[in-house]
Amino acid sequence: MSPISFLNPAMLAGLAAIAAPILLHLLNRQRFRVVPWGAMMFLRQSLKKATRRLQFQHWLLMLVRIFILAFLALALARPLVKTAFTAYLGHSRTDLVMVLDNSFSTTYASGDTSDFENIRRTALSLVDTLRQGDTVSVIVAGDTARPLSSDPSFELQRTKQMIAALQPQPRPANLLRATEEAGAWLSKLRNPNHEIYIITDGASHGWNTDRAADWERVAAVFAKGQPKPTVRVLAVAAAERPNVAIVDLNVQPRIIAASSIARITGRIANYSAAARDISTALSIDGVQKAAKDAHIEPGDTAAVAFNIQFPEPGPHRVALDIGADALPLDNRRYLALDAVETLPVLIADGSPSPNAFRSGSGFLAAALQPGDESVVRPVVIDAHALPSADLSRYRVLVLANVARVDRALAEKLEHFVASGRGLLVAPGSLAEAADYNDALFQEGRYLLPAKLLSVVRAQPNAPNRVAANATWRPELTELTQAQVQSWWRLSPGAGTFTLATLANGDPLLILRRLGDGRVLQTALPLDNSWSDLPIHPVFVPLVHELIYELAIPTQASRNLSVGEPPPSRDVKTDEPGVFTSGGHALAINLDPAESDLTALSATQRDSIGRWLGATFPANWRELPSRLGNERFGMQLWRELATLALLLAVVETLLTSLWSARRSPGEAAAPKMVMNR
Amino acid sequence: MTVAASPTRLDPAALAKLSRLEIVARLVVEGFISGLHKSPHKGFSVEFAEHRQYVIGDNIRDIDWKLFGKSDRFFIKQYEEETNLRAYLLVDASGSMNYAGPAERGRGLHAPSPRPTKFRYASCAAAALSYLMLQQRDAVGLVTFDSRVRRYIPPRAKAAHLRGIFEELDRTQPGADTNLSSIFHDLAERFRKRGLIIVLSDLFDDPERLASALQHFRHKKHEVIVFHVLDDDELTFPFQQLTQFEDMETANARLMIEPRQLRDEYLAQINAFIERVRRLCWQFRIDYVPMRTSEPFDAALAAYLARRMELR
Repeated sequence: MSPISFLNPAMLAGLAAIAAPILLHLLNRQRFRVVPWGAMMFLRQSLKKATRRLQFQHWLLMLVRIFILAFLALALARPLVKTAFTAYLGHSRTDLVMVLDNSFSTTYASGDTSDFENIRRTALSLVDTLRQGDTVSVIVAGDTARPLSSDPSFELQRTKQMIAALQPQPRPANLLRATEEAGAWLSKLRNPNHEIYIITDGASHGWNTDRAADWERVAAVFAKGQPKPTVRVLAVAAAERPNVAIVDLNVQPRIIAASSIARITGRIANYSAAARDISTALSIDGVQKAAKDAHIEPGDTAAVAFNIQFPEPGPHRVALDIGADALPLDNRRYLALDAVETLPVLIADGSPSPNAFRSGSGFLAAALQPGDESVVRPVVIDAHALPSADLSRYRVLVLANVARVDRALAEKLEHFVASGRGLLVAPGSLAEAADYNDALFQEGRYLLPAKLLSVVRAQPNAPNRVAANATWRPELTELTQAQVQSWWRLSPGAGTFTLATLANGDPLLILRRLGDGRVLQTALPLDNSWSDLPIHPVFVPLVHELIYELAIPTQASRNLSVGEPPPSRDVKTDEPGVFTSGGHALAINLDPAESDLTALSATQRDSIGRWLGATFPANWRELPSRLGNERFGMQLWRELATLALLLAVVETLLTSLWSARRSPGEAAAPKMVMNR
Repeated sequence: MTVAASPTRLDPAALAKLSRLEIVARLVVEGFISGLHKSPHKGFSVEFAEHRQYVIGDNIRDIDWKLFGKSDRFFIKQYEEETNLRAYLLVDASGSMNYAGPAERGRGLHAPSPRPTKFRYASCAAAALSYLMLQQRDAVGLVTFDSRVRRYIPPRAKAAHLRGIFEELDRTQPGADTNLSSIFHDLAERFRKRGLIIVLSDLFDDPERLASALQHFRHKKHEVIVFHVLDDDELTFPFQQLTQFEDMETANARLMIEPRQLRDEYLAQINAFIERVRRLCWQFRIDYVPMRTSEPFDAALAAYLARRMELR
């Protein structure tokens, strides 16, 4: 770092102002008065005598003016001089911003003290190095990266109290974002010395070092601030922190029928250098139901699976436990599930037929209920009976090739969806596009995800197909074998999700979420009139997935991460756990990535150092005692401004002295004596 | 235009605007004379000097018959001889005499100056003097000159002569460079009969050479009055902003000057010059009369009359 830097370098452009006196001088030379003059002999004599003096005065004045402006511009640029000499001139004011890692990995306790306790102590000792006039700001690197107070604080004691009261949160760290926030924060501060300390346990999670775009953004924020901050990353935890954590807990199938067998799988990761034997315990509704042992190789994961029968329908709280270690929070994981007795589905058939496989609903109903033990219970009615049907019993309603939809029916459907249930719209050859668009789509403002444009028919020898790159349910690869002869060309509305498309790019499956309820729209009827889809074996899992997709919201929205928005106001997602609320189970889990305590690698440190200009002092414990010797530097703007002022006074004196603005009347004119 | 408002101290600016010098001269002289306590005409009538015994050959008209009645002797009244003063008016018509001050601030560059040019002022003064002189039957001659003699009208004491002088003054336009001293030397040789030499000039010449020229006049027994005509601007140098001064006598001679910076030096120069001229005149017993174009012509007339008395 060069000994002189400028806190406000833009003002250096003001140096251009020194051209002003020169320009004024030149311009003045252009503006003069012409006087025909008789007494030239005296002027010439005067000039001969005065020229040298005048030129000297002129140049001296111009020099003084140039220096006034130059000093002013320099003062406004706020130069900061850091040399060994200025070290004797004292402490330079400091803006200190600390990024404190309070993610749950800092609760790791090796010995008596947790890593967070070390972080807190280090932060407090850094505050102690500050003096009056310095500011301190604390940014907590939870995933929201929030500052501890809304403004930088001059009250060091109060800040210390706030730091002392800080607790680790069961959230992941977002150090990158917190660092960006620190940079933006510093750019608003005006003290000549800027320092950022990122105090963390040293885990690599939270830095996202592989995302160059993010780093470019952060580096841009840092580049804006003046002066360049000193950035230090203090990794206070031990480099080796062995940890075992449950990183996942899930259940199959996705809809659990009461009294059927469900498979609950836990995935356990071993983040340590040695193989570990773990005993796991599964509890349902607070009662331990099963236990299993597992062997996990270092750096690997192991799965433990339990087959559990839920005899009672209703909400169930599942918890998996692997016993205590140095980081206890991630040794438990939760799962909330609702066991259902049946999943009643109402199918409104627009083209009923005595022959079920000629009707619009025959294939669908058969596929949904292959046997008596099936959870899904389809009921088929004639579409004309739909307006008068009681929908309250059903979880999902299917409009299978229904011809007409009026506004009254649309209202009924909206009510159905708004109560958190699912609607599947499968228009076919009978569907009146105008009706659908008018009653259900309403230019994207209503239930239907997409506008029906027109029916497209493929050449008989070149049928359309389902696109292979479907991301919705990748396991349904056999869908691509189906041949599609006709389909509705759909125009998806705003805020919808296209789950699958046809090979030519036309949307096949579009989802709209409306509160807890969902609406799915297909471009085909779910019968064999426009495609041969029903005769493929994949048709059975497909329609089940469609029904699950519509019925699942109640399930998915009940397994959340800490900090996710809660489904209702009377529950909080601040702490991990599982509980029952409003007739449903709710599980809140930690971010499993945070359990990986692997320290930053040398390359990752290099990369952070490169982007932020940060250093990783190894002897961070001695750092606070050394800081006093670092924070020196002399701001010269006062001296420069004083010089400019003095020169301005000198200039005024010189001008009044030299230009002799005596009024002509009192000038030393000869006394005219009349000698009468 | 009326001039009756101030009959004794006539405004030179107003007078200078009157086109005919004849009128100017009469107004000035009569205004001036009416301010004197005693009419000069009385003093200049033929005056009695002494009686002496009549001798054969004397004009019998001169015999004082009253005295003869008392004393029964013939006495002759002897009168003082009439002084036929011969005056030469030397009017400087060089370029620098054309200065009247620049336009006043705020009145535009080419607005007329409130003062007459130095030449016009000198002309008016000369006209008034010649009018006054001829009234007293003195002979008046006129020389206008710049770098050479432009016109020489020999002295005459006739009233008709006056018109010639006025016309000449009216006609003359100030022109070229000044060369006072050589012209004065020249004129000193040319004026055979001694008389009163009245110089109306700004005297912008080298003071040393001027001194020798004036001395030449004195050497030839001429009486000399110098009317030093200067403009107020030349005495106070009132200019404020950056100014380009153009020489009125030499084309394309210009000086770019910041007047405020040069004023002190300039004033020192011109004051030294005036003082030098004044000392020279004193040294050669020449009357030195400073005139400012902003002041009335009285000074000229008063100075002339004072010298005229002495000469008698």
